[in-house]
Amino acid sequence: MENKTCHHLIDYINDRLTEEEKQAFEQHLQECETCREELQEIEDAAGDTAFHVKQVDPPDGLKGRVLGHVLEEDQQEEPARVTAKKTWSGTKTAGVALAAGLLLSLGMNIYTTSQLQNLSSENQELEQELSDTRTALSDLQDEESGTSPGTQDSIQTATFLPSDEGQSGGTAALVEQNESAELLVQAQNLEALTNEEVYQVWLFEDGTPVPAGSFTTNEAGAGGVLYKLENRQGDWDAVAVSKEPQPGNEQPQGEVVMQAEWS
Amino acid sequence: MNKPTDKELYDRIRERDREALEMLYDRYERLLYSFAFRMTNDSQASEEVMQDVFLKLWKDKGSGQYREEKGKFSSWLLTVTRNASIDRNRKNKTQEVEWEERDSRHEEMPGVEQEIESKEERDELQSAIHTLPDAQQRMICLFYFQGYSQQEISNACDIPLGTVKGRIRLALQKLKENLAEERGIDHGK
Ligand SMILES: [Zn+2]
Repeated sequence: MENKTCHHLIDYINDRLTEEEKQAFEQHLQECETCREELQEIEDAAGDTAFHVKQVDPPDGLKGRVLGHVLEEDQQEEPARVTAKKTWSGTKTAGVALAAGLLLSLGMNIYTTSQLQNLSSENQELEQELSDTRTALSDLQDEESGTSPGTQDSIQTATFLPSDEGQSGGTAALVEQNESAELLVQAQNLEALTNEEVYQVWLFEDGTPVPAGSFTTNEAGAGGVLYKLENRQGDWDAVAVSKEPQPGNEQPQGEVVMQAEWS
Repeated sequence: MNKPTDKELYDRIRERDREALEMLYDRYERLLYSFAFRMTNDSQASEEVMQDVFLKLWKDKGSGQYREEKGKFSSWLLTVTRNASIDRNRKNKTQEVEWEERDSRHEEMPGVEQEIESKEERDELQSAIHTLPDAQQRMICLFYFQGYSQQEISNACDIPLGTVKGRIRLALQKLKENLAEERGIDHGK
């Protein structure tokens, strides 16, 4: 049976109700089958349209910027979380989450600088970005060290320099914390891939390569990956990117296109 | 290994599982971005919409959360994205002027043609809207693209408040049929 609250359906869908009205309507939804059905009908029809919209490519690094923003906002608005709730996904501390946020926003900056034409000035800018991030992270470590013994965030960075033949370049950053680590790699001016080819990232421990994520490139030859190494902390001495004929290789098969040591 | 359902990922996100957030992001990035771009016609605004949507997913408390009685998760998420896009359009000052202009244009030319005709390519949605009767085009434009309230639609179209919902449902139903036909044509090629 229709009652007064039923008339709020349209404004509920378009989010035009006050918080109070919204809560009342959600309460009503549990009791009113007509509203439930109509809500689903309208939302399904409206949602359906999205699948018929011309698909556009999200810009480079969108994921890093969006998720970075989410995590940063989270930290800013709920500073208590850093000390009050130490676990994140059960295994990570909020410190690592923030570090990841910084890494992700670093991804954004790299994207911005990769727009630059001049590669050498680009690399200078990248180095500046990395040193800024290092400073930010070491500040974070200092801040945390007083309140959270046992938390050991560390960050290492590396800059890929163009190889003799190519113009390729990029950066890598590795955040290690307790038993886990996150690796961010961003690269540009890479050769186009064909078929199933991917750019595979490798971390080297005593000269032994360990696969650490793969990525493909956009039309401009830029790409990157944020890779998590769960329960895996090593004494990594170098990072490399190779072009592999297919994803998922456990050992490098293709040629190494760039390589760098951690600093 | 079974892939987690949207609902499972959403529940994990409510528990602040970052990995789940990332998985859901990967699953929907292209669809939501394309949709936001279609709604805002601006890449910067679309990026802000993406941030608003995922921030909402991550930290929204109280009302406005997804529950199964609200229907399909993807439909709900697209509604959230549509509302976030409309909010962005409202917040954006220069955009606002544009929208107002569009409104007055719609007085003469119902539907959303104006904004699309400048684009070279029409999408399926546009073609499907285009084949609706004028009054239904207008209903879609006000409800769907501009996020008007029930009262605003009633005023703008000079129809009784009580009939707004029925007209929206009818227009959307017709639109859905047109879209299904468009797809049929595409497959027949
Ligand atoms: Zn009802």
